[in-house]
Amino acid sequence: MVVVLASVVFAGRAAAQDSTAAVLARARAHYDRVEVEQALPLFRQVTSPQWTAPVTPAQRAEAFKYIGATLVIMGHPDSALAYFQAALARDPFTDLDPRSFTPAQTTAFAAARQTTFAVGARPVTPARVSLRTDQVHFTIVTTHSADILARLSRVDSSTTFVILQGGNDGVRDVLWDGLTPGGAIAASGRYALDVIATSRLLSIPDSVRVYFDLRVETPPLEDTLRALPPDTLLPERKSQSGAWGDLGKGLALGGGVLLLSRGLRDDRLSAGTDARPAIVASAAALSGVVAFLRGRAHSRIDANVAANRLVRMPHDSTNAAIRARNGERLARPVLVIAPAGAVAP
Amino acid sequence: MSATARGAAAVAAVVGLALGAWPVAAQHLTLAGTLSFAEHRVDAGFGLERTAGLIGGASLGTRLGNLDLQAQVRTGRLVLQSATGTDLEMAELGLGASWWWRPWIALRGAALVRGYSADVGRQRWRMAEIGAALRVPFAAGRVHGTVRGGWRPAVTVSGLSRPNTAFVAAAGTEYDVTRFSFAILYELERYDFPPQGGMRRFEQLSALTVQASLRSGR
Repeated sequence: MVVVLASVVFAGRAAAQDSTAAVLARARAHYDRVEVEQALPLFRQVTSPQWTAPVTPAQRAEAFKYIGATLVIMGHPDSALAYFQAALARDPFTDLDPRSFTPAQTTAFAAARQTTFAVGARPVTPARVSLRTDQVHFTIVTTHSADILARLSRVDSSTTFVILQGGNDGVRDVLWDGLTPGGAIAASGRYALDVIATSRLLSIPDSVRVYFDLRVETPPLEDTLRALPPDTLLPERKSQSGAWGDLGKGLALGGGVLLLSRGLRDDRLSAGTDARPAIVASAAALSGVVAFLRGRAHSRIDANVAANRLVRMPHDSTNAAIRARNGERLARPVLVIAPAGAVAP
Repeated sequence: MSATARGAAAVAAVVGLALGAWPVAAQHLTLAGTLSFAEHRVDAGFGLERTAGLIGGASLGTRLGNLDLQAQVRTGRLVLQSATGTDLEMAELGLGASWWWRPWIALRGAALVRGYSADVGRQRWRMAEIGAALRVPFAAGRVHGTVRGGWRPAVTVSGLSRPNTAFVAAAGTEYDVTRFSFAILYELERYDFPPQGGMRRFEQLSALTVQASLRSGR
């Protein structure tokens, strides 16, 4: 008797010292050999308040699931339902594989799904998403039919937008194209995915939030060529002084004609008026005025423009090619997704 | 043969020469036609005699480096506009050369023979001229302002002594349109003769000349 008691105490201490994962593995091994009497205490041990080893929600949900499955085998479906509900409450992704569980078990589990409501979202997995070829994937679940709203919010700003709204039942892959509603690529930063759901059967609301970091990664851009130095180009416009010079020349020439006719003529012979010098002077002055007006209106030097075009052409075409390549790179950025905690970086 | 007829023959000769020479030296030739609204005034002590009329002309020029060579003829009838005097027929043959020191300034020299024919007789002028010409471009070189001045130190006139003063001046505008150019000029010639038998003689020939030129080659 002393030996038996000692062995039980020793076994309990040894089990407590085991990790949760090891105990669950042993329990599942018993379960798989249909040694339900040996499996059940081990599953219950993990869910017990006296269990001191760390237990993750997924491990706890797994333990509840197997307890439920074991109780179905042992003919206690009502008790099994409660454990299935507990498993779903802790991990809405909990499911029974029909290839591994009996129809009675899956039926009981389905009943638990209809009577429990929870919404879940898988933690975001690290990924590199090329926006041209792929999208960002989120996995969400509701235990049964529900109206859901999935929205993304930037933690450090007020940017919020809905990426899914409608009905859902079970696991669903939600895709996001990486763009904001305005069509812009989402800015880098920490984001929260909120999934808000309301049961269509029980009218119970539930929600879940997961955080992730998003970084927009753009391939390195090429620098364009520097602007051409001013001394490599010819002036393309005449200076306005040229137009004024033309005006001055025309007026001076007109004046010169009048001066010539009046100053050099022989006054002893020059009775009466003579319109001819005035005509020539007017033509000269008018030519100056027209040249001035044309110079002001058409100051472009076509020959220099053409010569500069030859200089600019290779420079501009190189820059155009660089801009095109850069534009292509900017048009296909890569979104780097990483899971994150709730605290902003 | 009248002076006008001889002048017309000379014009025809220059044009014919130009047409003949054109295929040979077509790269450097300039053929021009002129029309002058001319006025001739003379006072020989008997009052002002004033004649006016149209004078037509032609010229043929060529360029050898910086040297322009030109032959020109002109002829026309000057009709009496004053109370005294008589109608004149004028004809002129000239040979000139211009050496362009810079694109805008040239030194000029010319030799001219001119005849005035009237019912009462004929007067022949022989003249040598030296001077300068300015050609100032504006409007991007499509227009040029032209100013010419010349002194005629050697002038002989049949029946008259040599003039004390003889000069010529002209100014106007030239317009280049492809191989053509058009010009409008005011020209003035003055001759002051020394007293002869107590009478002085003053002569002046002025003209508004329009000219059309055709350049060959460059």
